Amino acid sequence: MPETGRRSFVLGVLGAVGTLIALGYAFVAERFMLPPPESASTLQKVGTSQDFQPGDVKLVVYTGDGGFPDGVYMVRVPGSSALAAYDEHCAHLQCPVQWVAGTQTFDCPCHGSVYSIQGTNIAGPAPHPLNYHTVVEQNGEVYVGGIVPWGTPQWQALAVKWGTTGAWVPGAVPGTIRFSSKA
Amino acid sequence: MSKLEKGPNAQESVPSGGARGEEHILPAAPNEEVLDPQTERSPLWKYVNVRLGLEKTGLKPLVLEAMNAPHPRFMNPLDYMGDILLFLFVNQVVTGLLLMTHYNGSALGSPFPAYVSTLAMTHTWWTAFVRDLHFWGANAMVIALAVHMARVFYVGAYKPPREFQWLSGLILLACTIGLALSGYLLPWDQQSYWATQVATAMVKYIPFVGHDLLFFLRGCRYTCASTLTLFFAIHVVLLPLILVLTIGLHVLLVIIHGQVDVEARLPEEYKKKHRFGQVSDFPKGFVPFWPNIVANIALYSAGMALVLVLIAANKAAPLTAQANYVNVPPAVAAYYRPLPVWYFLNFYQILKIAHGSLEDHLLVLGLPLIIVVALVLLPFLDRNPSHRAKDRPIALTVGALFSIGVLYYTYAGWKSEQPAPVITKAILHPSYQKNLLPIFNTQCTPCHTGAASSDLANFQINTYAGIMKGGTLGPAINVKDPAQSHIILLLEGKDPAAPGLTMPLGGTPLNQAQIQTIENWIKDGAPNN
Repeated sequence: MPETGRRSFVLGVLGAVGTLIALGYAFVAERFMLPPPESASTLQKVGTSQDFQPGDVKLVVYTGDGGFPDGVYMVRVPGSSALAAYDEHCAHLQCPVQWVAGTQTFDCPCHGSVYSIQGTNIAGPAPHPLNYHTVVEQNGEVYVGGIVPWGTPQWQALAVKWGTTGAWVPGAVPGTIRFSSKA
Repeated sequence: MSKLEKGPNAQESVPSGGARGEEHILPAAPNEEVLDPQTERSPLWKYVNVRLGLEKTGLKPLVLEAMNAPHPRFMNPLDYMGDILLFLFVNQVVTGLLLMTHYNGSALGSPFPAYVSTLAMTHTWWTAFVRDLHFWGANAMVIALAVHMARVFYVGAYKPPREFQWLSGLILLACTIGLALSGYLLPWDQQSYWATQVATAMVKYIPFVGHDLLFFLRGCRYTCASTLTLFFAIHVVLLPLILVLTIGLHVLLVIIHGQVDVEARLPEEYKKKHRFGQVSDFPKGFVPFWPNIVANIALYSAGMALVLVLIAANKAAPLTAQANYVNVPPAVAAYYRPLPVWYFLNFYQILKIAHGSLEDHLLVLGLPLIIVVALVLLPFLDRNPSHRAKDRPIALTVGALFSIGVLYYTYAGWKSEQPAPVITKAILHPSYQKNLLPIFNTQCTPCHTGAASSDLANFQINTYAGIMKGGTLGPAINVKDPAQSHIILLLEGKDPAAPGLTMPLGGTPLNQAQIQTIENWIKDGAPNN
């Protein structure tokens, strides 16, 4: 009995130490792989207030701290005159959407998703509205900041501030988004 | 089942010297007399036998079975598809190693070293040739794999005791798709960048962990320089390693269980008498694997090599403009319309069907999930023991329907991307069916289906009735004043009803001869001819 007890104790210790070491490596790997927080992205000047007139939709290029350029549509939202910034990547599979003045929509060339000037998905497979970027308008100068993904409280706050909730019903979760008949 | 598990174990148990794994495969007492005396006498055999301990460990029957297994003299060429795949893989390894000596896998700096080094390969004949061999070899692998799988399914080679062969084959399939996908990104041109962006974006649909997993896969929110580094590592180290190990298991299992067709054609008498690893009297019309079948494999491989060389020498692997992360004018001079590689056109076309979040999730997440689960469970769901086609109506019908679906959507996806037939000179009296419909079908119908969900103009252009009816702007055709027809104005980008809009949206504008041809047709009274 004592012989068996000692053996199982040694095996137990070996197992515990082995598990600890494995967990340690897994933790280090997980931390190592995580990207830096996006909220840390710095603001970047993209123009002056005069560059963006009511009804305007203009593409600017925002280069984050990673040195990686991202296309951003600057939109003076009709009716609210707030300056909104939509990320150019489609909410479906992230192709670049194209602004079409004729239909006043952002159209995705890949699978045919369509967004209104409010950034709301109105046709095609897109599961939710476009992502935003933070915008700061100060002393007549316009700055763009890091991305604000759809579904976060910050996105909701910006949608309310910009008046870009459009016909989309806030509070809907992915899979149950509905549009009013106006869209 | 128990026999199956002994297969891989037999090799693993080598160092411990245990021959227990073979007990079920070998006859109770291995008899020296039945071993092939020719093999025994060969000096190479003697040398290898001692060094690898083939006799000591009991691996000898495995080697003898592999070398001497009887095969019909004439076999279905489709049964050589696995061997052709092995050859194609060797081609990928050899050409891939060569490419690595010229390729600089970095997307930092301008212009991107990855793109510049790939572009440089196209400048001399031999470097271009090796890249083309690698590119067309990869395409050939996808085709050969599809044929191999279809053949395995048709002859029921996934049924007991070959379940592990099927499962290891699925790992090989996943690795091949992964290699194709990761290799596609490496040139870092527009085509590879946007195809990878779309393909990887599907990861975010995985519940709970999708977004984090996508970040991990790319190293950034959207495809960036880190993605290239990771994909390069995946392409040249991780996946080839898994592939080589799995090929070893796959081939070992083929040696242990033999091919289904061969087994079906062997006389019952022989099968009753034969013991694994022993050389019995060959039935009439049967030849050993070595050297006869190996010679056939060499011939098929040489044929495949010839085809590859001919294609590679005549058709260059594509290379579009350098990757542009924004790809919206004016940030890019020439806008690139993202398109998938040809074997994903089917899925690409299917994804266009969805409208809204729920349908989209069902297609992006549900469809691949169902296919993967069905493939993994196939040998366990299909309990019908028969290998003969006429005994398996359900399995073969399901397989046929699936194949037809894949082929149909591949064709539909391909068709939706065809450029309009080139018309360089306006046709004076064009035919609607012959001259106009091909233009409409290729340039307009990707969007203008008339379905209110995806076509904002509500304009069905691919039928005569639809084009006569028009869309939200009213009638498309003005017979009294053809030049003022909405269809003509929109193609020219001059429609006052839709300022700034030029059709086809996001595509290449039609040339003047094409537009004039449409106008001439309206002048003729827009007949349905």
